[in-house]
Amino acid sequence: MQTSVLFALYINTIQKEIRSKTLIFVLMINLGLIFVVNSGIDLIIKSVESQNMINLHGQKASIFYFLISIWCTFLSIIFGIDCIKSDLESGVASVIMAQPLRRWWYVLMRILGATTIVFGHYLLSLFVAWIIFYISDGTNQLNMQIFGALFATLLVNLAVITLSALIAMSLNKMVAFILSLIVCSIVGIANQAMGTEDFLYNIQHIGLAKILGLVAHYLLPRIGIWSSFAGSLINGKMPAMNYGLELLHYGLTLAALFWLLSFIFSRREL
Amino acid sequence: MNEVAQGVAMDPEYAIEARGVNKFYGVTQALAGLDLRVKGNTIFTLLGPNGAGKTTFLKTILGLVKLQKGEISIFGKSTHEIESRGQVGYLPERFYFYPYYTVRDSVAFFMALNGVSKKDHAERVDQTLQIVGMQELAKRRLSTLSKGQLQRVGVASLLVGEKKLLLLDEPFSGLDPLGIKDFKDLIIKLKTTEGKTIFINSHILSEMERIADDFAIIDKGRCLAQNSIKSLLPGETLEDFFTSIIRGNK
Repeated sequence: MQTSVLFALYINTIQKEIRSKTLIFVLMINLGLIFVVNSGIDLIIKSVESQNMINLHGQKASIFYFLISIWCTFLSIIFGIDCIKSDLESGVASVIMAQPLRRWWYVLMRILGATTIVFGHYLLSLFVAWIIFYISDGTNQLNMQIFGALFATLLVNLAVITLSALIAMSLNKMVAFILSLIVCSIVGIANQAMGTEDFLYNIQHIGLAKILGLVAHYLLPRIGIWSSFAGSLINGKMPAMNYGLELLHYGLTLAALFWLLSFIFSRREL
Repeated sequence: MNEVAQGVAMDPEYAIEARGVNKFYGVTQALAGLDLRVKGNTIFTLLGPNGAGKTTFLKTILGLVKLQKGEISIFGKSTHEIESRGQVGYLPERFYFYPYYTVRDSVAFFMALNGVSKKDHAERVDQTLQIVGMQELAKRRLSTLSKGQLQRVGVASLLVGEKKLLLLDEPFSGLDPLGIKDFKDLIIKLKTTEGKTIFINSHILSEMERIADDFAIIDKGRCLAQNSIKSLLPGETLEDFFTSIIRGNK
């Protein structure tokens, strides 16, 4: 395997997104969203505090983090669907795959490139938010704990992008987007419902919905668990979970997803 | 269905050697035991009516389409080996690459994919663009180029690395007469000065008769004739020969 070839593919993935109008459009929405979220949160905080209900002022960063995480999941789905599918639709994939490359190299670099783009958005959002918060109320709302959640967010982005790219292989973009949203939601719900229980408890009272939940929880990367983990870190808590086992599960399920995606792509006629 | 014959000794003298190649799309047989040999440093044209299997054959050479039976080798190396593709460049009927890339960036990207060291890129990109006559348009975005200019960028992308065999799928399609003339000159130049073997799928028989050394006619996935242009009878055109062969096959 030539690292220079892999690097060229990786850079190409980023360049094709950076030079496309989609990224500029998404970036503008992203910045607009940050301003709207900032104003919205301020309005809610003032409204709640004026009624002497609870003090939400210290929660601003947490609320913001929650919203920006959801936005980044949307972005992961969009870029995950687009990273391979757009090349297949335009015919670029056949031109690239006519070169002396292994198909899994291409798939790997498209996934990593898309992850870099989404993660870059995430970092940029945090930075812009920090500036806005600082200017609007003079406080440093973004603390080091947010940066501690970066690793978990990266894991979530990578898993969602791989899953979306896989779903998009045999569906059109709109259907793939809707299905990816549904699958990510099911995984998130299943992780919340089953994450704190042991396997024997989870397999009791089996029904159709339970089977779906079990598949989502045990056979797919636990994006819900890692999202919660990142959220807890923001709130200054370390959730009780077996980190080694969760990381092992994440690694194995992500590898399985990637293998399946590469296998389907390698069988595809271009 | 997967009965690919592997390990059969192939002759490295031939740029392409295909034996008993079969390909089905569902129940439709696109290639039916196709046998073909293309000599090195020649211009070879594969002729056939629409749906004859020309593009499918070309794509099986590159591994873009999986063959179900038979064997293809490139300079004696099986197409199952990824290294064989390092010797082959492919220009699709409609070359498309990211429109926001410049001509220079596009060629540099294909150089990188072919393992050309980055420090050699600048010099080699210039050389390649000079061969295809695009050096003055190096900084132009692909979205601003004409069909003919875009085809030339496609050819430039074939000339990177150590490619000895160029596969062109309907390269004259959509070009105006001047574009066709320029492209023909380029193809001849690539053979004579660059020593390339050029394999062309085409419908334009008159043009191919002028530039090709050898030809093959296929229909319904089967090779009906393979010969050199020189072997045509006096007064007989390639079009006459093609028509008689295809009609005889009906």
